[in-house]
Amino acid sequence: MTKPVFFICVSILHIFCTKVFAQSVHLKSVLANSNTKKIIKNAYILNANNIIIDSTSGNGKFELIFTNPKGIYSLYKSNYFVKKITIKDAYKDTIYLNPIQEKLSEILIQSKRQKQLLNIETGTNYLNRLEITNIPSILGDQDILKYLALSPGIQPSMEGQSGFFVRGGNSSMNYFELDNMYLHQINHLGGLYNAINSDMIQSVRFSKSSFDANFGNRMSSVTEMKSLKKPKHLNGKISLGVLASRGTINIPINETTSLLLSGRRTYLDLIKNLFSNDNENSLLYKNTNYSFYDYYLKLKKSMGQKSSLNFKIFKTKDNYLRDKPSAESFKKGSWSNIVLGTDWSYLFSENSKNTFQINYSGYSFNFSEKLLSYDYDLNNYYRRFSIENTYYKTSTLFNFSAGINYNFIKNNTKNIEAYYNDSLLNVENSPVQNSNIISIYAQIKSVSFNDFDFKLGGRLTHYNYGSKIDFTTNNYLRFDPRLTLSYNINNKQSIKFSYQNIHQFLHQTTITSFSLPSDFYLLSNATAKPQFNHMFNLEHVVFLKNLSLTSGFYYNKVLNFSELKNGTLNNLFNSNVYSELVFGKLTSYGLELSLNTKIKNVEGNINYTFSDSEVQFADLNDNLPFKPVFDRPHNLNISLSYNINKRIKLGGLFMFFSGQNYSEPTAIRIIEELPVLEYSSTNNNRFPSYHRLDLSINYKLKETKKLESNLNLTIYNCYNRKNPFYINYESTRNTNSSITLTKENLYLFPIIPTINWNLTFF
Amino acid sequence: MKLVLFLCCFCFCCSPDGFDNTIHNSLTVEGYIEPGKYARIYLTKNLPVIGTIDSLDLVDSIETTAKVELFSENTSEILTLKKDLNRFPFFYYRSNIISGDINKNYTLKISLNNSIYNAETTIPSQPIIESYNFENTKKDSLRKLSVSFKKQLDLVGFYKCFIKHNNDDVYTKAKPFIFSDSLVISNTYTVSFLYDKIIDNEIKNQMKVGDTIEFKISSIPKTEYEFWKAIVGDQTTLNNDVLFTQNTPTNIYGAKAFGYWSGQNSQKTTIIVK
Repeated sequence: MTKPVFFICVSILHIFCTKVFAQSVHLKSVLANSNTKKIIKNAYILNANNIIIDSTSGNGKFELIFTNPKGIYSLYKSNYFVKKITIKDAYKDTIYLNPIQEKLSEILIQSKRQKQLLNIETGTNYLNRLEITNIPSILGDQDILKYLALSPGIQPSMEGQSGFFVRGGNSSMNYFELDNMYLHQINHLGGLYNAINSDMIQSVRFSKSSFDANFGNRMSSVTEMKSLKKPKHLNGKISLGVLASRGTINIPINETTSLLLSGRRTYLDLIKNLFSNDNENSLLYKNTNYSFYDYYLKLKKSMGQKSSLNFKIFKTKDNYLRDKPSAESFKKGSWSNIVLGTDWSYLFSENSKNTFQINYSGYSFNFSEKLLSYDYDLNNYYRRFSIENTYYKTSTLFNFSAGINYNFIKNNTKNIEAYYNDSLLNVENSPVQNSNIISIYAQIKSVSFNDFDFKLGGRLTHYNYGSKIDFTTNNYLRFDPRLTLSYNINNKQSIKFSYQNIHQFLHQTTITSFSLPSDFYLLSNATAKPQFNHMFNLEHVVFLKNLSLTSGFYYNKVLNFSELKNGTLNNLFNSNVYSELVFGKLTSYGLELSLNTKIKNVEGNINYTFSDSEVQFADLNDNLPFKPVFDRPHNLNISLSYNINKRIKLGGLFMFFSGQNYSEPTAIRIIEELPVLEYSSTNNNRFPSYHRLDLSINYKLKETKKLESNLNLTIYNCYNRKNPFYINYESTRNTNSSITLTKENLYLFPIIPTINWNLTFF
Repeated sequence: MKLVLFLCCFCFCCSPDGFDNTIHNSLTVEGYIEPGKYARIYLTKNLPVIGTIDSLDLVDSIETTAKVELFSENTSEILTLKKDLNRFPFFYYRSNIISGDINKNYTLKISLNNSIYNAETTIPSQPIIESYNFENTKKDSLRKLSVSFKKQLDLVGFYKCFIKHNNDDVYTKAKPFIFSDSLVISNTYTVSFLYDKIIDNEIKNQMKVGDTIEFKISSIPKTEYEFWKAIVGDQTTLNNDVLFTQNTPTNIYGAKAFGYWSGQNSQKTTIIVK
């Protein structure tokens, strides 16, 4: 064969082959982790329109047919980068996905973007372990809840107060759970620390809207925290600080069993005995003390490939003592959570599973005072026993879940024992309240990555107050629908809408404006009908080159909203707290903006919320609407972190928000020859705006494959801003018979430097 | 940049100062009638919360132009304005015919600037005191006054209490200032009183061994008790510093007023602190 003939033959063959390939190229490959080389099963395969067309099999294999030489497919698996596949990949036996453990900071930004685009829910934040370890420290603690409270739409409480306030709601409207166990009170030391040790947390999902159907009875937010998973090797973390120290250890006992232990304790009470003095006004005064501790224990047992069992114990306790003999004042208090739970999970197949759980959560608050004519001991508790079964089914197009939940709640609003000269006085106490709540729920969520996605859920609840389940009397039957719609405009922006209607069978009464988590909780009954809300949410997410911007608008209306007549409980001995309640409505709306960016070694977040809330009660403020205490129109926070090098990382957090509302006196009345301050309207003024700057520096002392240690220095309230937490008015009679009114701002936390040494072992 | 402009727009268009701090000029009524005594009604206007209030402001606040009428059963009279320089306000309205009697009903009507204020009250029974004693405090020289009461049969008692050194001009509110036996189940009970004054920003007990003190206790109607409870709370309130007057109840109806019209039954005792 001559060269020209050979050339022509080859050319014809090439043209023929190209034509054939252009019509269909068959790709057969295996998907694997680029680091570990392990196969990846159940990863989604998406076409050019982001529609799921298939998934990888149990051994990671998949097939594709390219009908167009320019065709592009994508491979998606959570915790991996999305991989684009073109015809060039058709001859590869193995295709690798890159896990997100690489290049920490860049990947964090990337994964946030992916999550926000792929997540159809509105008002939802998700933090994985990597992001939790990257949270900026406040007082040496990587406080998850304080970090979440920086999200737009959330009003952090003032110093000395616990919890946060979401979209106009009060703190009783927030639901917290740890490994599916309900937590009633989540703060230590007036909210300076939260009761959850971040070192033991694997992931957090925080929702302001688009609640899953298995959550009910709370209207404002849901925080789901999951503890660390079963480890491959023994690992842990120790952190030594000035105020408190903590430790976490995750132990793989054998192939099927693992144990997670985590604890924290303050030790000022232990070491102060060495330095205590007799000065009543000193922090080191011998009869003044404060301490807290918390611990968590989780035992996980796998029973074959399909079944696993968890046993969990969580305990927190705070102790407080203040004795001031010169003022005849003695106060002693303690508050604690004890939470127990077990859950059993069974996999029917790769696509369906069932979980069954039994949990108990008990909170108690005790307070004793010897200041008054009487001495008294006050005790209240909230106990919740729950059983829940949930079935999950996943497919390439939809995720479906349905379940049934039963709760028995025992609530002792307040039990008082009063003494006079150690003799018990007869004081009538409130009866203990009981309720039985049975709910069934179902939810369907599309997972198709179509341009249009949805989540639809419903929860039907039968609420019965009384000690026995009785379907004939003392009942409320309520249905909570919820809907989320999401539309991907293109691969850089999406728009989402959600609506939910939630009933809450619990009312909160605040009896102090600061310090003690002594709020009374009241169960719904014939007087206190269930509160319920209508919440609408519209959200737009856009990604540009180096930044992502999420903007949202919400409207929230709460009916049967409760408040105490005078904003607090006047008479602690009152046996019927319900008689002090008034009912009305709360309306709140707001604009939420969140911008995050990364330029070289600097990562920054800016969150801003403009909101407006208003409450109205027929029996308060002459039936005129007024601003609730925690209505703060402007809320801005800016956080920046800068990696100077591999060892040193700087962090900064600036917060600014409008002060909380309070009732300012507008006139003086003279009655019984004594001046009395009068208020023309409720919450008619604001505290001065709150702002502060926290700085932190993290220095990596040592890093090996087995060990990492670092030193963390945090300065809380850098410029020592005196943010008032209480405004006191005093009217005094002068010697010349004139009267002078003085106004005094009281503040709590000055500049506080803390240093922590952290040791992590893998 | 757009975001910054957007934020600025919001900051400027949403002023946080949309609050009502208007001073509403309304009447303060402090009226009472005691057994065997003529009714006394003290009327004042409110004073602004601005710095120091001197004696001229105080005199200006006294209301002397009202028409005050009192009704009891088939009797009625217009009260006359009297002067008393020993007590503020220095002018008060007093009845000249109708005097107090336990369990009788008394109706008050005040006409002022085209507004009508009405109120009704009855005089409760006197508190039954069994004994006075003193208790030690943690400081050797200071005492607490403990008063033993007997509960009235089938009646709930509401009380306000004052205390002063015998050479003082005015009474100070005792601590507790008000109390009720509504939640006391036993027939007798004891309440301890402190005589506290704020000196140099510290609360200091004034009941020293050897002092002569005057203790005044008045039975009051529930309406006046509720009025005071809304202002000062009672001694069982956890947070004693909270001001409660956002929603002060009153038994005066018609035009809006602050205060009470109350039947009272008082006892005064002078005791040497031991």
